[in-house]
Amino acid sequence: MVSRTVAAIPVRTSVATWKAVTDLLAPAGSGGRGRLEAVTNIAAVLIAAEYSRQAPIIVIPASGPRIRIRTAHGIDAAEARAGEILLAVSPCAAPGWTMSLPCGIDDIDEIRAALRCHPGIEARDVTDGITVDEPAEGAAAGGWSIDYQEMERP
Amino acid sequence: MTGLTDSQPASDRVLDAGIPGVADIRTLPDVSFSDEWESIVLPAGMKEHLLRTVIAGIRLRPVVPFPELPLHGVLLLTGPPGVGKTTLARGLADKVARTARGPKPWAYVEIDPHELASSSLGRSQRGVSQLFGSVLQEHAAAGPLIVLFDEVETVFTDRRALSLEANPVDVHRAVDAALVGLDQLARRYPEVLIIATSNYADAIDPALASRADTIIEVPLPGIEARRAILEKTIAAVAAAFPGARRLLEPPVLDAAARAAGGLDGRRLRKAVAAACAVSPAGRGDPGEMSADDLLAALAQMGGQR
Repeated sequence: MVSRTVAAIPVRTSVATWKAVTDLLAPAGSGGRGRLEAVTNIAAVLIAAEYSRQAPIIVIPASGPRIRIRTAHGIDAAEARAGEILLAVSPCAAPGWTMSLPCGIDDIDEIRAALRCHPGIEARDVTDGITVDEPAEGAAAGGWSIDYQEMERP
Repeated sequence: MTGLTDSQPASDRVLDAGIPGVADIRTLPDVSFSDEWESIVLPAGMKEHLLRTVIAGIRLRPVVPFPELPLHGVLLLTGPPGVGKTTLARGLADKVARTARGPKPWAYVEIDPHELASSSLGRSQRGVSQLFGSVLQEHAAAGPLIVLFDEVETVFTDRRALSLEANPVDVHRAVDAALVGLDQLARRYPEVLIIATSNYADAIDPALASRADTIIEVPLPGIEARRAILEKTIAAVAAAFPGARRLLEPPVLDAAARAAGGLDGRRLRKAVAAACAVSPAGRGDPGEMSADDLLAALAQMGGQR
């Protein structure tokens, strides 16, 4: 399982927090960044309401393990800021990724309506889980091709 | 930064070293590392043996169960400073990536252990846990990985040599966390190779030494290796300053190699540079360097016959 916690209010504004999430998932120049930037205002509303503190933002990449991102608020935010590290892979670089944003039941209809024009990004009830088949943990082993010519070369 | 060849698939890896404890991340093969493999001079057959050892591990680990053959994928290089352990490690990493090819390219992560050690209670342990639990495991999950852990005794400090009165318990916990992280990495990801280096083999925690599949002591260069190192270095200087070619005469190289006993590879190379400044008449011109200048510089460096 790959998870991260991103510092939110008061370390960052809700918009800046979503930018940090975007930087984490799709570093500058990588694919998918535009789709994430396009939902900045919607995501900022969810972060400000602290739904992403209660349940993670979940990214399901085209391949590889899903990514869970929570936001830390209040006194937890400062500590979370010190522990923020990059992901090893950019999960939104290859097309085909989807995202689930946590949302309270009071706001969910409005948020779903706003996300209608952003295919692949949806809101779920903050109290719901999400079921996705996880790829088996551990790298796929084997399949090596040994270049004996290279091996013999000094 | 990357040295992917045309035949390798693209990678979604994030190659940014801005992570605490990580000095460098890149994909392999990388041409700057292959130069290091070619430049390092070791006793005959040693480089080839190292490569065969790693390739055998790469073939064994994915298919032979860990409990039957507990290979951790750890290669420990020890030896005095200046013998080229780090250069050898980088060159070996590149050579392995060129020799063993799979569906995904190799990634290379170089650890900066000093950044993991912290005087604040709990931070060393947290940094080590984050490194093994998140950074290395995530890179390992993305494909084959080679980790260079330079000066490994900084993190895997021999706990028996620590005093609980003088050293915070955090150091003990950091070593524990590193060992747990290493075990998890070894069991879950057979396509991870960790090359660790140390100038102080006695300062390494025995638990790490017992996990190392192979421990190689990189020796000070013998007379043949000294001659080869001097020849390569002088040839590089002569390529820019043709007058230095006179030092490539076999009798000069033989005499210099004999006079350089006890010097490591780094001192030998620096002696060539120092020789350019020995004679006042040469006025610092490398093309004017003489055999006597080289012998004098080697003596100044502490070379012994």
